[in-house]
Amino acid sequence: MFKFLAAFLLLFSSVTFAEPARWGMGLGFESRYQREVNPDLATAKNMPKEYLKVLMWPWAVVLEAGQESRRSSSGSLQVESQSVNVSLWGRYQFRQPTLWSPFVGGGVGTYLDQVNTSFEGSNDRSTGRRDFAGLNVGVTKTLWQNLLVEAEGRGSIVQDSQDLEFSALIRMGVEM
Amino acid sequence: MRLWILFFLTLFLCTACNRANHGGPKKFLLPWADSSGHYSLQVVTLTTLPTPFELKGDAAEIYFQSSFGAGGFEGSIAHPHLTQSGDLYVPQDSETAIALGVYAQMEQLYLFEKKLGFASQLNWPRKVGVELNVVGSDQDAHDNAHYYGDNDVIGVLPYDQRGVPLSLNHGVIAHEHFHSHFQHEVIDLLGPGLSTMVSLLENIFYPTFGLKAQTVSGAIADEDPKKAKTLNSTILRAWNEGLADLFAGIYTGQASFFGPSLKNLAAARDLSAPVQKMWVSKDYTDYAGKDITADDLEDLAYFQGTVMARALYQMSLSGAESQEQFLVRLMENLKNIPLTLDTHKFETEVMNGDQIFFPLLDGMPLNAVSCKILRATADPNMYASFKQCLNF
Repeated sequence: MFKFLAAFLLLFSSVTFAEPARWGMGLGFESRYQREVNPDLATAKNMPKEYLKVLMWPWAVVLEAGQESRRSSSGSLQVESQSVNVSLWGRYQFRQPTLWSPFVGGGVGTYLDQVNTSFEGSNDRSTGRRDFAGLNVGVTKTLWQNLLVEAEGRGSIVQDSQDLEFSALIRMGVEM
Repeated sequence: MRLWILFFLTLFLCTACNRANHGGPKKFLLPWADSSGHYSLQVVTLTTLPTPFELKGDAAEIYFQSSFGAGGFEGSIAHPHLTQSGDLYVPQDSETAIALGVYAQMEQLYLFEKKLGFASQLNWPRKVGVELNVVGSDQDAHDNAHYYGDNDVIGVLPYDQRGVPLSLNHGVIAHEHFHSHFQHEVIDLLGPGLSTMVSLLENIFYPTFGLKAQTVSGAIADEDPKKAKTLNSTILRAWNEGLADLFAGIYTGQASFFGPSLKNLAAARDLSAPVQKMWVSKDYTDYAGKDITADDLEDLAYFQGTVMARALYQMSLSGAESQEQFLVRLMENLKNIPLTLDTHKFETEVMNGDQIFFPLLDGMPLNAVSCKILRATADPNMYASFKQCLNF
């Protein structure tokens, strides 16, 4: 987490670019297409997200955070997992923010996992981490100078997994 | 500065996703049984899995919630959902824990058999379908497991009780795994016509799974439970089930390994219960004279299998040799079974259930305890054929 914040502040401090930055923040919603343990099956995992964006047109960086949880069981085996997702995405926007502008970019992030497992009277609480990296494309526009709306598609690969994950996001927030 | 940003991102992209320990032993947090048969969460080290993110290694290929076609499992090998806590991989859902738990059991069986020297009876890796999707009533589609001899694969059905899931029960997996040895060493060697017939008749016991081709289902429906070949197939089935229980009992060190998962079977299949006489030909033909069904034959096969398994399990504890030595001899003697069967009479004469003792106990050291068990289980004529026991 600290690594992401440090990178974010370093890269987008006021001395980084000659032009002043426009800052934005708001909420998003990601729907991720994730393969099951049987990789022939996939389900959609939904995750609300908060984001912080810095725009120095044509470049922008978005810092995102979200959380998801899942409970599963079979017989006396129960597994509850919670994951906090933190990621940093850089992008290039092809047009001015006041116009509908397509963008492309890439990002890196991590899932900070906590897994509570119980089985036949024994319990375990473990924390773990899964890094990921991906590419994204989307469109963005700033309405009435301050209202930001975006839609985005992503493809990412999570640490060592052989499965590509695809997701769709929408974002809405304020920009100033 | 923009170049630095690109450089930073590229560097992170290249390094962030390469933390796994490919090759070499890997540690997993798994639902597991210790040597005393107590189930709990434990750290288990696997040595045969090249990558933790695909359940395919030297020991097994694991399929999850797959369907079953004529050629075996249809679909892809399971991909676990794991998070990494230091050097420990932790399953993120029960599906992953179960699929990984099955791989870990197959690895343990693989290493066990390599150590004892009979792993070469089979082709490895073994195929296992976990939480197999089958067609049937709720009762038939849950809480069971089966070895499919035609395709040489194990299928474990979903579990809907409150105990240890069947897939995580070391005894159940070992039991089903043994059936593959019996298939290779006994059924496949009965001769082309007879082994096919036995395989078809075995499907009497699994008519509701809906996994077989229609032509096979038709053949099963035509079988008369009172025919000699059907009764002989029941006896073969009893031997197969009994030896599978014996194998699982010795492998796990637990005489009642079903208990943690299927409490209703715990007493009925307990290998430490008192021994009794096995049925001979007359008992089977008398039973066939009653109004019996395929379900009755299934119950009989398991009952007689348990009678045999109890005798052999208690003989393995007689002290004549170690349980592992006993098991090694028994596995080596499996190949003697088809040699002693009079296959020409398979369709006309019903066998004695206890005649398996002769090929199976060939070369085994027998002491007073094992002879006493044998006398309590086998027909006097069969018992008399064991010259070692004449001294006791």
